[in-house]
Amino acid sequence: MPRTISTLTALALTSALLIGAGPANADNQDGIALTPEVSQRADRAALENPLTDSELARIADEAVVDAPPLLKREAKELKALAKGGELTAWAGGTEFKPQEEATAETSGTAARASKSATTYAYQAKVWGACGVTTPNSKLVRMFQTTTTPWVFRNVPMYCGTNGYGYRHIKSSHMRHWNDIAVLLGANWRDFADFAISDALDHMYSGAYSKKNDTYTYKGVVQLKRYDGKTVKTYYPRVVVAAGNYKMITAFPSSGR
Amino acid sequence: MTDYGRFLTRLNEKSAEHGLFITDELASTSAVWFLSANGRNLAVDGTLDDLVERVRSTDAQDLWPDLSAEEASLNLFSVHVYEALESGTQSATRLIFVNGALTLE
Repeated sequence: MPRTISTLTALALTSALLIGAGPANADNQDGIALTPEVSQRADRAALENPLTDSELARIADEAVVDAPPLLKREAKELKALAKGGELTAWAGGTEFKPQEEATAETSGTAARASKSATTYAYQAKVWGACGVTTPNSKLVRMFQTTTTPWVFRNVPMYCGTNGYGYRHIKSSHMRHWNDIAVLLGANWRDFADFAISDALDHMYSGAYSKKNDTYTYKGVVQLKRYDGKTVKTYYPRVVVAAGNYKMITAFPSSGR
Repeated sequence: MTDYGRFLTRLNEKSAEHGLFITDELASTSAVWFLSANGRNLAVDGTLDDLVERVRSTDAQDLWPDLSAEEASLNLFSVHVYEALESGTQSATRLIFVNGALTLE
C-alpha cells in the first residue's frame, strides 16, 4: 500500500511538472495543492520507494503521447498560412522559389529587377530520371560541398538502390520532403534540392563519424510568414560516404 | 551457423552513437529491442535472425568499395537507424523494415 501511494504521488508530481505547473502554488491534475510540505512528503516517499524502470518508462511514454496534439496544431497553423500563400522558405539569406513562380518572375523584366534588388532567389536544378531499369550508377544531380574555405568537393546523388541515393530518398523520405513542399506550393524534389544544397553549404556542419565512415551535414531552413517572422525551422540532414562522397540519404528533421 | 553475439557486438559498435540493439538471449527466434541514446525503447520488427538477414541484404559495396561486404552493410544499416530516429515520430514504439530501409511506427 505505501508503495502505491508513493507511486501515485510521484506520478502526480511528475504530471504537474510536465504540464509546467510551479511546485509551490499550483494544483496537480487530481486537485492536490502542491505546497512545500506536500512536495517534501512526496520526496521522502519517493526516496523510500523509488519508481521502477517500467514505471519511469510509462511516465515517459505518457509525456510523449501528450505531444502529438501540439504537433497537429502546429501543422494546422502552417497549413492555414500556406493556404493564404503567406509562407516562404529561407536558408542562409536565400529564398526558395517554386519552379513556376521563379519562371514567371524571371520572364518579366520589372519583376526580376525588383526581386533582385531585395533577395537572392534559389532555383532548383532539374534532377535526372531514374526508371526501373536505370543503372544504380546513373547520376541524378551533382551537388557540391565546401570542405574547407574555397575548396569544393563534388557530392554525387546517383540513382542508387532502396538503401542509398535517389531511390532510397524517394522511397523513404519523399513524404517527409513533400509535407513541407506542399506548404510552399512546390514539388518535393525542388524543395529537397534547395535544402540539400544549403546543408552541404554549411562547411563546418559535416560531422565525421569514424564508426560508420560517413559525413553528416546539417542545414537550417526557416519557414517565414508574410511579415518575416519565422514560424517553423527545419534542420535537413545529408549523409554521404566518407571515401567517395556519394550521397546516401537526405531528409528534413525538426530536431536540431 | 550465425554467431549472434559477434553480430550484435559489431552492429552496436556501428550504431553506438544512436543507441543499442539488445535481446534476451542469443537465439535465432529471440525478440530484439533498440534502446535509443535518448531513452526510447523500440521493439525491432521480426526476430534476431530476421535482423541478421536484413543487415546482410543491405548492399553497400558501391558506397565503401574498399571494405568487406559485411562491414559496408553494417555502415549503411547504422545510417538507416540514424535516419529512422531523426525522421520518425516521437510516439513510435517499433522499428520496422520497409523497402530496404528502416522507419519508426
